[in-house]
Amino acid sequence: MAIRLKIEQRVEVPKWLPPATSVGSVVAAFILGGLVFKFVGGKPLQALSFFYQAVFGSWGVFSDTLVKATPLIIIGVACAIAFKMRLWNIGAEGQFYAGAFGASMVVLIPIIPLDSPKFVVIGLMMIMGMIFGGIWGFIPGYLKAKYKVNEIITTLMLNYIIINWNNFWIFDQWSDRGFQMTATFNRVAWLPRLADYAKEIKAFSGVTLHLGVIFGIVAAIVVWWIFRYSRWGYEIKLIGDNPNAAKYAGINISKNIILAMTFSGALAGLAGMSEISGVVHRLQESISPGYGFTGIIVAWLAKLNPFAIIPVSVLFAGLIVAGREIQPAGLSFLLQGIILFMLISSDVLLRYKIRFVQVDEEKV
Amino acid sequence: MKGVTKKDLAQRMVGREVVFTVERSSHELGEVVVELENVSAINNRGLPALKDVSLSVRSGEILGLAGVGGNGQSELAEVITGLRQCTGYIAIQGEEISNFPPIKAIKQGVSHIPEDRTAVGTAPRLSLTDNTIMKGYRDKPIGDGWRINFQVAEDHTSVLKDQFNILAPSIHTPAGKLSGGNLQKLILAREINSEPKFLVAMQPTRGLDVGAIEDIRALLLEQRKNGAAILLISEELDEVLSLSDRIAVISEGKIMGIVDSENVDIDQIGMMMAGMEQERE
Amino acid sequence: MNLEIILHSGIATGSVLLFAAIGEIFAERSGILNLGVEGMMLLGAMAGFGTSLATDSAWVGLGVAILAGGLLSLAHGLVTIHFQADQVVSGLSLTFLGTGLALVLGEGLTGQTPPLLLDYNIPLLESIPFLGPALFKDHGLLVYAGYLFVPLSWFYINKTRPGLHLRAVGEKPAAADSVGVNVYGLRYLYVFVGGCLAGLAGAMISLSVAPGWYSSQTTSGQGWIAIALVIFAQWNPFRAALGGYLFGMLRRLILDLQGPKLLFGLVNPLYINSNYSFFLKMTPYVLTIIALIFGSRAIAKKRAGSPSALGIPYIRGERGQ
Repeated sequence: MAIRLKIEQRVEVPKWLPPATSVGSVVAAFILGGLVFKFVGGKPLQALSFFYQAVFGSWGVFSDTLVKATPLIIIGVACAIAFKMRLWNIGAEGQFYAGAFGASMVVLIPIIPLDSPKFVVIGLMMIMGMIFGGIWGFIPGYLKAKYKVNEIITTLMLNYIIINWNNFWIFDQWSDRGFQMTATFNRVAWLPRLADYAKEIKAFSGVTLHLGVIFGIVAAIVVWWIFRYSRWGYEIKLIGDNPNAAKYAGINISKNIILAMTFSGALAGLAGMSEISGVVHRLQESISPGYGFTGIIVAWLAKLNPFAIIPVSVLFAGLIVAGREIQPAGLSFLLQGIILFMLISSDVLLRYKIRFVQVDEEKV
Repeated sequence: MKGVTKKDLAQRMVGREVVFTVERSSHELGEVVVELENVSAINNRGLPALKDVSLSVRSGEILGLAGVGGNGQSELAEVITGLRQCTGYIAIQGEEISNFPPIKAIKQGVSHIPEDRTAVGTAPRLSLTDNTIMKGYRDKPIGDGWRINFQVAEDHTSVLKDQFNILAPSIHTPAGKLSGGNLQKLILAREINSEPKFLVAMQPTRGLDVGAIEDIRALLLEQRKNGAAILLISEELDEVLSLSDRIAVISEGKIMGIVDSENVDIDQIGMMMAGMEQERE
Repeated sequence: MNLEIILHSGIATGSVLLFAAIGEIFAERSGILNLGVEGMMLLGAMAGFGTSLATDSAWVGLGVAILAGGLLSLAHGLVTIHFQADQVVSGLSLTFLGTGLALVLGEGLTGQTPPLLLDYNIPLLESIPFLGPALFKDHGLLVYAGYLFVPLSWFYINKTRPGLHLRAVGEKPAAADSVGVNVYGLRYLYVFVGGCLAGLAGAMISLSVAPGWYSSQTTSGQGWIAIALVIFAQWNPFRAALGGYLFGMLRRLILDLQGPKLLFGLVNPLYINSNYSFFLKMTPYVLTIIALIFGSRAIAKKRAGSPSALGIPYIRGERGQ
């Protein structure tokens, strides 16, 4: 009797399999990445302990991790909306910068007097951040809807464009005494953070966790609701699965492309606002260690589920925080690449299953 | 084999008596539901596909369109359902639908069983429920403004699944896993659920087994009894002959002639399909 | 600012782009969309540079770079052809992977000076007034190879039998399969070719055209521009090369516009405020978008264009195919 491998199509996917592939991909990435790291002379186990510290260590470090997770959650959710429609928004990084610019305008021009109440200033910054991020999402969306221009390339090009745009203002018009950054924002423009309440609650002293994390949670809930209960969520799902069927069903695909890209861009812009208002407190050349790109991986790893995006963002934030201690810097990029690659390779397991079949020698 | 008729064979395959020749009860024909006047259109390669097509269908009538494949049938279905531009005039009960996006035809009560059930009529990775509500999700009780009530949608899908005998592990199964026959039943269930005024049925029984063919044809006839106007486009001449009240023949984008099915002359149809124009009724 | 230098520089930079773009043309013509070009180019740049340093031979470095690009693309091939994963996401993951690998393995290469690919002149041709020095003088051998590669690839794709198979696999794989063409095998082959060429392009940058290793700045998005070029070129190698050379000239022009003097000794008004250079830096990317718009409109108008099966996994025996 011989045993043979038989590969056959699955009829139904067991519920535990998709999360298992996500977890498996991360584990595989750590192993492979660790090997590469070792090859270039790094200490993978030490790096792993840094990572563990970042996520499960002291509250102070965990708070740092949560602060880094905030933009990832918002961007992850932004990407999920676009990706659900198979709209490849690779421009979240640029939309982030655009949002940061819009929010900065409020403080640096200034658009309203800086002795206005805090919630007005913050509120306006949020709106400006979403408007500018939204515009940066609208442009590739419109080009795709009207001229069928590939959105991957347009969003990528727009990333480069907005960074140069911001730099002009940072280096030139808004420069602080010739330095390559703007002056620190007036405190009215700072998002409240736990450290502000250190007087009331001693434990909060030095804890930099800011209101932005609430933006992230709210965004996740909103997008979850959109996917689960709303008409628009259903239309997005349908367009993503089969645009021909969506058109046949009477859905206006152009309108939805523009809407989804604008919405996605607006959320990414909000993340930009949150970062400069809650963390950096000024506009400068470098405000993101690639949040826009990591956010893409977060969204995929979480299989576009807004609630799963939250823990996955924390995981990747832990990597970023731990990565501060690790040389070489490219390692986190490499890890993200391996995770994504493993993830899509493992998707095949969701469609096919391997069975061991006993073959009777005589029959053959 | 001696004395075995087509009917006997089919019966043994399906397990019950199969009806091949359909009884066409005489019934009242209603108002004109859909009108096409001088409709012309070009195909994807830029060549003329429809040339000056004019026809109309009444409520409670099946107009069958016979013809060799590739003579403009796809394009005809597409201009009616808003998937293709055209010149000319198409209207449902006087309301023009030509050159509007598909939603206009849908709102005017046009249902469409598409030629390509997988590429156009289905979202393969989405569940049966998601596929069933594809046309009806905007209206109550499933749709309600910004929301969709998926509980109602699922109940509704379960009912349809049983009623139409759609074989699938559950209503959550991805529609792409269904066999051709079951998928077509799903699509039919969806399209007639809205009690359409006008149903465009394109190759409704292609690739299906005998039992499914019978089911689908019976469903079409039931729709006719309920007052729907049906345009049946099929490359199976038998099917067109047995189901239709009137038969139009299309050749190279032109309607060669329209005859009453009572007095149909196969030779005449054949000549029209080959491109020889005949009289119209 | 000197027109001859702009042309010369344009040819050099453009050659890099044309190799990457034509590689992508091969892959896409076979039906596989490879968006990992940027990662493969960066990996090739690093692999070429690093290997040249280690082995003291630029040519060995080039060889390893080509292989590195090819191997990475085979991973993309496996996932998209056999596992039928989504080609867009797979390509993106390879961009991350290639970039990450290049950055990690390339740590410490900045500032090193390994042997480079040398420049040569072509006798006789270099004496042609104006065009001669720009096209045939002081260029790496690969640039000259590019001049031949363009017509050769056009000829291969459009006038030879294997080229016909290539196009068939990308347009109607089911039909090609039914007449015995090995669809899977050919797709693997051309994805590999595309990856090799991307690796070559990368090594061309770090070993010849703009020597050095500057982390991700080494390629700074040229892989994406090459992909955009493919659309702009409507999958035609001649147009890809033309677009590449034009783009290269543009880059040089932008660099020159940041200097103090313009043509004919005129003072450069843009030099007044050096920060205006940021707007100049935007220009290549803005122009890429504009080129894409024109390319996409032309494709829509002609109704011809992208290979019909591009991006769609071929599954033998699938219903409806």
